[in-house]
Amino acid sequence: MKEKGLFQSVNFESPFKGDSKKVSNNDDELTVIGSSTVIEGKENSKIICGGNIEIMGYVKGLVDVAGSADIYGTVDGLVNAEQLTAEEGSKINGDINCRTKLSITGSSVVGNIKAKNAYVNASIKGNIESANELKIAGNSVIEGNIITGSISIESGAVVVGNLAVRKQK
Amino acid sequence: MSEDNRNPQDLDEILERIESIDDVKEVEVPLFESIKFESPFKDDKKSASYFAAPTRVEDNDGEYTVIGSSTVIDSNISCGGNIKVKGQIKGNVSVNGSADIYGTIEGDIQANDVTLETGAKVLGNIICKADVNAVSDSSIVGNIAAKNAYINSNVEGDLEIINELKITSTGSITGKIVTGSISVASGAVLNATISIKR
Repeated sequence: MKEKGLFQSVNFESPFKGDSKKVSNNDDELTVIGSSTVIEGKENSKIICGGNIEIMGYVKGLVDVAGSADIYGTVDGLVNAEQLTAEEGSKINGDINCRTKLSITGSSVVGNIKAKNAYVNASIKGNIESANELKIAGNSVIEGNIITGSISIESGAVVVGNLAVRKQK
Repeated sequence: MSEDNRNPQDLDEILERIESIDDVKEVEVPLFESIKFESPFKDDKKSASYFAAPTRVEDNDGEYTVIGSSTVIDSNISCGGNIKVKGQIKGNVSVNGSADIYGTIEGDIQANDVTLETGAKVLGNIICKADVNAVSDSSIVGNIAAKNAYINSNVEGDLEIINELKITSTGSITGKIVTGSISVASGAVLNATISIKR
């Protein structure tokens, strides 16, 4: 009973076949996914972005960003970014790999987090691995194991899980 | 086996199958489900007239979604506002407002109006409530259904235009044309069957 995809019967030969753009790093560039925009609907959906991205709407699938990712909306999927900021009200259902600075404020994350430096003031279900420094602010609720180079936990934070603090060599 | 002597076991099976069919239907809601555009190319497999209004996204006039030039999206997009595509999209794009295309789209576009800028490429069908505006050095492979169309570019596909079709001197169309009125500038290349209906 699988439904036939839209225009599946159309077999144009693509004139742009060899045209697939290689994603190049582009520091100044900003891709904006507006708040009423929904990106989903294909298997293995993905966004690959050479610059920076702002997500206010809904994205389902992999998000791979060379620069920084600012998330105000919802992402269902893995997020890779140089820098990531999740703002108040945002939701991430999937792992986060952040090469440098991660900041999560007032959002909810279900997934494992890897970052160099991380600031968390949010609800997180998943493990956190921070190579350098992890700051957990007072409104955080964290369910998961933590491995970090150094840690500070503000009073009021709820943390359930194992904690390992190891100095990086 | 005739219908009359089915035993209860068969009935159960049938019921089960009906339920499972419902499950599938609930899960898979295609982006452009109901198809209400009446097409003169109905029996043509390549016809553009497959779309319906997007239902899931809310209207948002002032909003802009921008797909940067180094961004590649392999997914469908529904957008309540407007969209600017400078990068590459592989998937269908459905926009309540206007779509400005500078990059490449491999998939169908539905929008209130569509503008193809220099260098834009569309492989897929375009359906527009209002105008399609394609400047020179852009190209479309697919069908176009719109109220008005201003073609300054290469089009390979069929056109159904309700009001006005303008083909300028750098325009080129290969396919069937059905339009309310047409104007062709000298220099345009046409390899098409044309029917003009008021």
